Amino acid sequence: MIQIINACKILKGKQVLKNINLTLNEGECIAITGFNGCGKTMLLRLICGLIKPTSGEVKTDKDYSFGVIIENPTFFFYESALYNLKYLAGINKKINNDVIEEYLKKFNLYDVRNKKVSTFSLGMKQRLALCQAFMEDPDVILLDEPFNALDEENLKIAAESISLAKEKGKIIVIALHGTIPEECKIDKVIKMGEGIIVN
Amino acid sequence: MFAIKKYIVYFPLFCLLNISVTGVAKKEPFYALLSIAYPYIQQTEKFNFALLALNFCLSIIFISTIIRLVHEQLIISNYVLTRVNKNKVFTVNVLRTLKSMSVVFLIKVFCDIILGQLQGCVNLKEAILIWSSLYLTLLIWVMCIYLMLWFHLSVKWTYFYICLLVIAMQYLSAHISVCSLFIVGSGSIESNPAMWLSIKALTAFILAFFYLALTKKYEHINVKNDI
Repeated sequence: MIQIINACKILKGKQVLKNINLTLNEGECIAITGFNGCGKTMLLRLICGLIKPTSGEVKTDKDYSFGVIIENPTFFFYESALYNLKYLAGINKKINNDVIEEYLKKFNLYDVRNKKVSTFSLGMKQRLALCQAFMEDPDVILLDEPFNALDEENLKIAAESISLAKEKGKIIVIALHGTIPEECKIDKVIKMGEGIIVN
Repeated sequence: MFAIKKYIVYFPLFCLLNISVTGVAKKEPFYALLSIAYPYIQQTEKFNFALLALNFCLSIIFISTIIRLVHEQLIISNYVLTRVNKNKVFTVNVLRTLKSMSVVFLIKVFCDIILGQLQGCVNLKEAILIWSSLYLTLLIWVMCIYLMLWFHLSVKWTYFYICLLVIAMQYLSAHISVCSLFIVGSGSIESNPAMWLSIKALTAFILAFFYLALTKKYEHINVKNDI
């Protein structure tokens, strides 16, 4: 379980998160919606520890591993898709090449695995980002606009992967401003506005 | 094993630069390194525009390679930071940069040796001194570029500042010996190589420590993605 208690965040004099109280339970899938700049991405950053709250706290009952997509998918552009995934997998050495290839196949990137990321379309980069978020089977999956630029087939694959992770007991948080695909089994929708949780 | 394929373009480039500079300066091939972006032939102190152009090309190759490596490493940091702690991120980042940078460095050394042997003018002792100075200088550049990008300078401005720094230091080093810290080689380094190499190593270490302290104290928000 991850608990965010009265968390506030001030960046360059501006309060980007105000008194956020949120509990994330295992096996729960939460969607955060809201307009651009309302603090969705900051909240994801706060959950995975990329930023620390100015006041308040983020409590966890164990050491969670994270799989994230935050903002635009960024990679080593002049390297291949396979190299990028191998590099990230090599940091913790939790998975082998077979698992990486399995995920590349799942997200329809296997045929282009040796191509440079710089030649990829936005949708392909998005699928590569999804690959790296899911491949190590992390405890917590945080996805910022995960369905951006995906066609219908790949959107379905992404949504199914999210549902499967939920069934496996993962904590899933999705930030988006568009519509939520039906295939995603969302438990709770949180609406944000100006750094606060509205509902 | 290093993936050498993507660096294959450096072989003809370095060979060409080495041959050109040797022709201009009538010196051994690694003369090209001794005075990056310094247009004077050291023995005669005669200005030579070709030498300036050729040496500047060489420094551009090194600087652009390092900037690309460091920038790539920083824009992917979100993925790395959520996998390991901040201390390990630093190690992971710097190790990959050094590994890729070392490939370019070794290609340069290889070209120097091959061309030197062909012309029968390899002074190994002098060469090792220049290569060591080059590697430590590249390390210092790596850390400077990490710091510049950390302070949210765009890639273009980082490029501009680091080139300006290197050229200015090369010129100033003739009069102010401390400026030799940021450049590959100069007369002052040749006069007391052991001391200068130690000072360069220490400078690289201090810059790395400073960067590490910054990353520990402050949060990583974003790096301008404008490469």
